[in-house]
Amino acid sequence: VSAWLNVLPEAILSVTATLLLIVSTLATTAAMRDLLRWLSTFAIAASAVALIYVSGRFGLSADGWTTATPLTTSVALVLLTLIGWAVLASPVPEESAGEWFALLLFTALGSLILSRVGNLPALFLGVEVLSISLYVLVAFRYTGKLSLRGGAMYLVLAGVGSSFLLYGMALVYAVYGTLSVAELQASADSATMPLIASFGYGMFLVGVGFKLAAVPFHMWAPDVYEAAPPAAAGIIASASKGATVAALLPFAFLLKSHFLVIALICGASMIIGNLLGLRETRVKRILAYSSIAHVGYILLGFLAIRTGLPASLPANMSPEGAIIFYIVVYGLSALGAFVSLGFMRSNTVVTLNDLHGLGRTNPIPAACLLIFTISLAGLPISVGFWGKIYLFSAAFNAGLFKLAILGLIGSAIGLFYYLRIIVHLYMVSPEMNPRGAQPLTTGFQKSMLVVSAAAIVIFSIFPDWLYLLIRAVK
Amino acid sequence: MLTLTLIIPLIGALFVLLAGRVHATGARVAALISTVVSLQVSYLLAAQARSTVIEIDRLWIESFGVHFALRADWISSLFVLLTSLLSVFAVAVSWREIKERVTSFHVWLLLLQVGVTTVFFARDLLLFYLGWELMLIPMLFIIGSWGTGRKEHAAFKFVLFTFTGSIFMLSAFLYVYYRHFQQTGVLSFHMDQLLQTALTAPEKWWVFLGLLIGFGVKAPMLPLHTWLLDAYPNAPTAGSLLLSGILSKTGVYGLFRIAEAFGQEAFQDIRPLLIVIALVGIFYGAWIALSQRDIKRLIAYASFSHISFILLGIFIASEQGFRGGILQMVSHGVSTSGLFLIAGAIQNRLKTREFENLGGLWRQAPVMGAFFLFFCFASLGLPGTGNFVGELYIIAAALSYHWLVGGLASLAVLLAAIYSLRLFTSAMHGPEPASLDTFPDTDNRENLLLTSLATCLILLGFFPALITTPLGDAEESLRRSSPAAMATTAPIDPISMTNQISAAPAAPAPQIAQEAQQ
Repeated sequence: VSAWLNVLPEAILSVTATLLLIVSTLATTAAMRDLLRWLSTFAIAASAVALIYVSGRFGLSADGWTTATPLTTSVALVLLTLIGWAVLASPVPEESAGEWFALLLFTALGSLILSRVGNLPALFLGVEVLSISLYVLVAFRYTGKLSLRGGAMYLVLAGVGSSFLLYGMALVYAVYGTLSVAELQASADSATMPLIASFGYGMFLVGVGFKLAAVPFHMWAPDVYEAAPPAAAGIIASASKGATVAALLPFAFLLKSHFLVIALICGASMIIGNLLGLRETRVKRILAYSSIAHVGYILLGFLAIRTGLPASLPANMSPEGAIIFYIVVYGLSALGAFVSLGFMRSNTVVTLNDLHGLGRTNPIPAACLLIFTISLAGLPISVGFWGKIYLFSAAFNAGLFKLAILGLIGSAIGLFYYLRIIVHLYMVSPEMNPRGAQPLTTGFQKSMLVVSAAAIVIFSIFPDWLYLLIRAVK
Repeated sequence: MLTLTLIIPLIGALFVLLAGRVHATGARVAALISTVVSLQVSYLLAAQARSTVIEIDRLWIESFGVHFALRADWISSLFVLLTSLLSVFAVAVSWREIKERVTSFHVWLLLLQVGVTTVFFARDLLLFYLGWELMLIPMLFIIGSWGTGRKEHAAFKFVLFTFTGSIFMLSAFLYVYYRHFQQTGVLSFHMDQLLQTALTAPEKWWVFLGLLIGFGVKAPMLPLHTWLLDAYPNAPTAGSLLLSGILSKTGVYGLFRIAEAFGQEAFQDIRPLLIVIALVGIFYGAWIALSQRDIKRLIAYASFSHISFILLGIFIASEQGFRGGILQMVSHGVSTSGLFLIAGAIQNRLKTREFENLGGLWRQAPVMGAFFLFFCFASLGLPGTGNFVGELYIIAAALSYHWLVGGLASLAVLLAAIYSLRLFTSAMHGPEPASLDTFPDTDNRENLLLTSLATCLILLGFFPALITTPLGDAEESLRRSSPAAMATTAPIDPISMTNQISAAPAAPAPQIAQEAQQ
């Protein structure tokens, strides 16, 4: 029984999601749709509670498929919170609410599997569950040409990524004869890596790079983000990336053999992602480039795990802590930015000119977008700033001066396009807007938006609270 | 009381928001009340800080070692006093000028005040950095939303320049933080602790260089000044007043408070170069000011030239130079505010700032003309104004550093005379342009503002010891990190000798007063 109990969090999610698919035809009225929304929220909450229970009960001695450390538990909780927020705050498509929530639950399932991955098949399973539900979510408004194109593009390129991933895993298995991450780690620590294994891990990293949209595997990101519904784009940017990074964390032993590769990807993402954003005029594409750059920052934190740090290092300077902190901060801001944008402009393509004067016509979502943008830009005193300080000081600590300064320069470049969003929101009069103002859907979703913006503001002033919240899970 | 200087503008901003819902004038009144109250508080604080150092230190963010550490000594509280003074003026000059979105304008103004005050008082490097960046967003909006001409461009350029500069500054801060952590195992951004960090000579060089770039952009120092040409003229009057009056001073303040403290050896090595840069800046600014055909642009370049003059005093780093620098910082803040105020008044009346559309205004507006003349004279360093004393100090310091530097510095005063007079004559003298029909003279509000600015300048000119006497101790406290090691003797000040009355409350041995909880 206990072996089965360990997958209780996953089981809750998958059962509820399947149930939702079955009852989706019944969701014809607004009341039913609200019911489904609450049901999905409840499932995610139940899964989170089960996760805390399970990780408390099994500790480190979990079965081969999952691992449970304080680290993985807090990452998983973070990801569940993000998706739960998306469930609550995102506008629901009228016709197919059941499918919408079921797919969101499946993304939660995929993220959960990825965040506590114990062996390579589990990793692949998580990646695929996450990606496949995201393909559908991207193309959810399947009547639009843009959505279909975006969905197909994501399908093909993420499929390429998956095949790299699988190929890499196969090579690694061929060399070591094991699929367990812990055993792979042990064998990588004990001996030098054979060429084939090294090549296999390289393929593996390429696959991960595709999933993360890190430079040079980033080209799908802008089109997909633009085509996707706001909440889906937000999840690709936040939870999906967070889960992939979480799955990468147990592979920190690769930093010994593949340091240069990861460093190059990291540096290129930070600089090129930000540079590409400069000339872009469509807001969702800007946010896509910003997400590429943010992957670079997170990888910087990953690289900082590399060195034998002094034993006296307090837990709060650990790179892993910095990464989790950043996943929360960045995830909340990116998701919020996409969703608040979706509130103001429901059409898929949003140019900067469409934002004109929204600060006056739609003050509340605009103010939320302002807060999220400032947080993404990492301007003090936003929580994004603390996240960056945290990552960069971890990098400084690990002696990665050049990369850290590169990252700081990248964020200075990035400031330019974030500022453009702010300028267009607030400094141009509403008469200049080619489209009129758009009324908000419901008061409830607006209040969710305000709650998350308020959370950002509060964590900005007291980042310690967020930090303690993350560390409280042990 | 120290925290009050930060809280009052914040509460004020809240009241402005509330009052603005009722009526636009309500927002103005609320902002005015808030700034006047802060002025009162910072005056009391400055009076106290003349003799004692007031300090607050509380751990704010444990996991990073960020302290909410503020320290008010004479220098910092002096600049906070200047800040609150100019904030009152900023609200007052915007009374008629800002007609759209009055509420948000005043909220940004008050937030800006919070940022600047934090910068002057912060003793924790990250708190300092927060205040530094907190100045950016309000200024972005103030220039971008209420400015004139290519305002968005100007706002953008300002923010990008400053932010890029501050990235270097932040890198330097983080580096010292990290080294300190390595050496002691303590996470702290508190300056007193970080100053204990042992850095090798090349490390000091890099740190100093990063800080120099960060602060140099804001000041602005010579090669980093190009944002100024867009930002100063295109900002609304209140914006240009605060930019040139206070924000530029934060750059200089950071240079002598933080950059010098962390990179002293590097500073000593690079000093001749910095002095040359400052000298070139003086002449370059003056030279370009001469060729301007627009009032505000001329004042902007004149201001740049003056800042370089102040930097010269700071870089020479003798006691005289330092005193002159501080005095000149205050006087320049006041005099350039007067100039921008008049330039804004002319622009609001005529909707133009170009010299060819101006002329002969003195006939129609004698009172404004008189004030304009006074502030132009102040800007060229007329005896009797604070600018004269400041310049005198700096030139004296320059002469004792090297005769050539001193000679060139005094030559610069001559250039200042030329462009200041040109500024005055092109607006006020000569034939009236055909387009001009009526030009109303200053009203009571403007008269009140200009009179109080002029009074400040004259006060500074006749009683410079008001500022310079307590400097001796504060200057000492700069050099030492631990307050216990502060010098106890007040250096003799040539000017205070002649003004025994004001020199009478010469500072006793400074004590640290831990402020009680608010």
